[in-house]
Amino acid sequence: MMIPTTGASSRLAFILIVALASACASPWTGSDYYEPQAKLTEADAHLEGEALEQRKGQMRRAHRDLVSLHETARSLRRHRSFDDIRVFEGFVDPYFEEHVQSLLSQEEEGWHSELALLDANLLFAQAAVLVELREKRRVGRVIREIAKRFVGMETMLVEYPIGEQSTLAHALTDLRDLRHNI
Amino acid sequence: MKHRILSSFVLCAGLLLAASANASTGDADDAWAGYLDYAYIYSSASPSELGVRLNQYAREAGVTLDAYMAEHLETGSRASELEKRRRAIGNFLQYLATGKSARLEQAWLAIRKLENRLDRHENRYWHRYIDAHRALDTGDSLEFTARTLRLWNDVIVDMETSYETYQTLSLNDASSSGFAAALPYLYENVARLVLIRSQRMGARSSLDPLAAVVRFLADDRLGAYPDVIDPKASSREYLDAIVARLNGPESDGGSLSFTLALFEAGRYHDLARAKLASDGFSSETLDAVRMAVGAYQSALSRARTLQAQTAVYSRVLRQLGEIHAAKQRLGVDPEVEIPFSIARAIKIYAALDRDLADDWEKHGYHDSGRESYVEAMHGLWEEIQETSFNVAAYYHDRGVREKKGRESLSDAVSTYSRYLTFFNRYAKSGAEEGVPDSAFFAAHDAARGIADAILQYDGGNPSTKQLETATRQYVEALEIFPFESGVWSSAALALERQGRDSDYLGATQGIADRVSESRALDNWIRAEKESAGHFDALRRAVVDDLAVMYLGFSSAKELGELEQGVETLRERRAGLENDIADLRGRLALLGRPASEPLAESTEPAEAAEADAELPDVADGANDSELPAKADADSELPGVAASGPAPNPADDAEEIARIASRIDELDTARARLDEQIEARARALPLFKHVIQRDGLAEDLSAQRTHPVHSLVRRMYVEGNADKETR
Repeated sequence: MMIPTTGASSRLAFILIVALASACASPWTGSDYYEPQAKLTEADAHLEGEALEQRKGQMRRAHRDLVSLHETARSLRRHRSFDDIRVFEGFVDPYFEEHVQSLLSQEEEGWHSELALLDANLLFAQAAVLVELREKRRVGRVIREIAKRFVGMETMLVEYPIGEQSTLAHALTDLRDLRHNI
Repeated sequence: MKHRILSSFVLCAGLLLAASANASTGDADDAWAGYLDYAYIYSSASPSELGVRLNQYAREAGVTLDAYMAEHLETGSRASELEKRRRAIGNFLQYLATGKSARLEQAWLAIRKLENRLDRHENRYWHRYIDAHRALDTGDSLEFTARTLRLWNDVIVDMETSYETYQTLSLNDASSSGFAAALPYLYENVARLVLIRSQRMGARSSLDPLAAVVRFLADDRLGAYPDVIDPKASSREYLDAIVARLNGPESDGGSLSFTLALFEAGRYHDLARAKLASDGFSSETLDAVRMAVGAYQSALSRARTLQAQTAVYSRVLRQLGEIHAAKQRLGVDPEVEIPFSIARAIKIYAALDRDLADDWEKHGYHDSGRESYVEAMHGLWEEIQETSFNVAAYYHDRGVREKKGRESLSDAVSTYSRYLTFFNRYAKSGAEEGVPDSAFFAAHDAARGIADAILQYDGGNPSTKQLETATRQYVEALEIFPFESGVWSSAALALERQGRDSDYLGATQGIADRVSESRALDNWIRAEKESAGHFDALRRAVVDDLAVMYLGFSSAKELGELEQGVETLRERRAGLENDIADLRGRLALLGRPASEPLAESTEPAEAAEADAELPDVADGANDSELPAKADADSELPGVAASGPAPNPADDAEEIARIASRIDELDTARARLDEQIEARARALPLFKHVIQRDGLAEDLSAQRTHPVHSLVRRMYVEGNADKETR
């Protein structure tokens, strides 16, 4: 195989070529690939084993992403740049609706007990972002969602406020106070 | 760093593609098809590198990209989805390599034909990616931000789920995984688009919402696949640096626009610094300096918080200082307009100081905390002080070099004075939290700098009034930092030039008291901290008048002479001893026991007394004032063993004269003993002090030198003592 050597080390070339050897060996034309169409929100209650672990991983990552969104939203609010906030909201809204919502356990499927804490954390983080964006009504909707989902789980420790921990009941009280002050 | 990353990235991409092309059947169609299908791997290269790469691919394929598209890709309704996409990518690559907007529009037109097939990740990626570039190309930063966020939402978020699934199934290296396997490259492309290409294409504002994407990328995404992209080829390192700035004390409350602008300015600053070091003030260097200054101005124009202004000024002052240091070093004075001033930096410090107690959070330090607020104050202070000294040193040097340098010397004095005014305003007690430890030694340096410059006034002949000012400044400098012998001698010189050298001990008495009574210094010495031995020697020296005189009127060069002087005194003492013994021998011959007490002398050894009052540190200068052996002999009649028979009356007279002379020599010997003892005590102290004089230079160069904290404590102590008194 001929390897162009524009000053590169042959070792690096070898490593890289091996890394994508299979793809290079049979050039993919883009027309024969498989793409899963099913949303991962289906049949939550039946998640188990590898699939459950994968879901948990996705939810944890989504939570970290929400923390990043919260940090960015807070910064935008402090700078009071309304154009920036508008563009950011244009990003956050579909992100919540299509991504976060798809990760949350669905009521009709039966909420998954192992995902309850992760569900709660996602909802609280989402609410925290909305608080920074001064979305009073939507914060209210998330509060009602939390109150409905976690009846009897008020002593569960959740990650709220962002970066801290408190009981779900306490976190909900804090969130209501924040919403009141928006 | 950006160039290194891009180069290695392009290189890897080239190798991968070459491997792909060579693995294929080898004709032009297959070669370019491979290059275009895998364009997501190398499309983030810089225009010049991409141009070189496309030319190389053309040589390998035997046909240019444009010719390939014309000859091998169908147009119109007959074009397949694949051909449409390849045409879009081909035009897009040409746009990236040449910067021609028309090629971008051709790419956009081609990819829009796939809008009915955006369900495919690959189509959607190129559609959104090209669209984001269209906004960049038209200079619409806000729209660029919106479209890049859309790219993330529509493509990346969706593909992450697929990629994880493939990873779980261990399918991501297989051809069946399709475009989903490209995700690590897409992370790289988004990162480069936001961090590098946006800046290259002049997107300076409205990037702040993209901070979210930057944080996403930093969270186990970019660089997280070393088996796919070699970490050396990843922009991870650059991303980490940006995120650290975004969240750190040099941020603008988390603004990505500001962070990128300041980073860019820092890059230009590094280039200018390197040019200055290698080429001096060449025209290229001046251009680089202007670029850096312009970039700092651009960053400052984006700064919305005091935090950001502090960050810009802390950096730009350094550049100001570097330029003045180079002017001084090279002895040239090119016109470099820098629209940033020390005075403005002092105003920013004042604003930080005003809100240090309560309202610090409102200035942008919410995330990094109060500690970083205080650190930023320290950093700004230290840049103010160092730039002041670089500027002042430049003016001082110019003032000395020029025939009519009075104006430059005045500028040096003004610059030092401004620092002292700043110091006296914000370091009243010395304990202020926003003042760094190094500020106190700097105040010493400034006071000394004022005095040094004044001594150069009028060709080195300042007026008496100016000399008085210089003396006061030297004493002030010594009050803050008494451990540098050069300042003691400068103070003595200034007094000497006023004819007031006898005031020296009095003028420095307060400093001696301060040193000898300092509890902070005592604790430091007891704990055997840095330079404790030196400080102990100086503490013992300042309570010894002779050592203080040495400090004022002697230099290291004269040390050998001073030590020789002690030897000379010892020799002369031995000579006196011999003379006395001879005289006693004569007395014995005249019949008076040598041990019998002599009559008390009525003639004091005036010369010897005068000599003892103020030991002359210039070795041997007082020799003539002491009774000399030859003189003593000449005053006495010769006493020969075989002379005429003695007359009793003459004998009595002779005995009295010899006795008187012995008494006189005894007194002189006692004085010499005192001098020898004093010099033997003071000289080692002086020697010790001057041998450690490099400490001042160390303190000037090292902001974190441990002795700065001692200098500060002594200052605080001195202030408290003044108030008590």
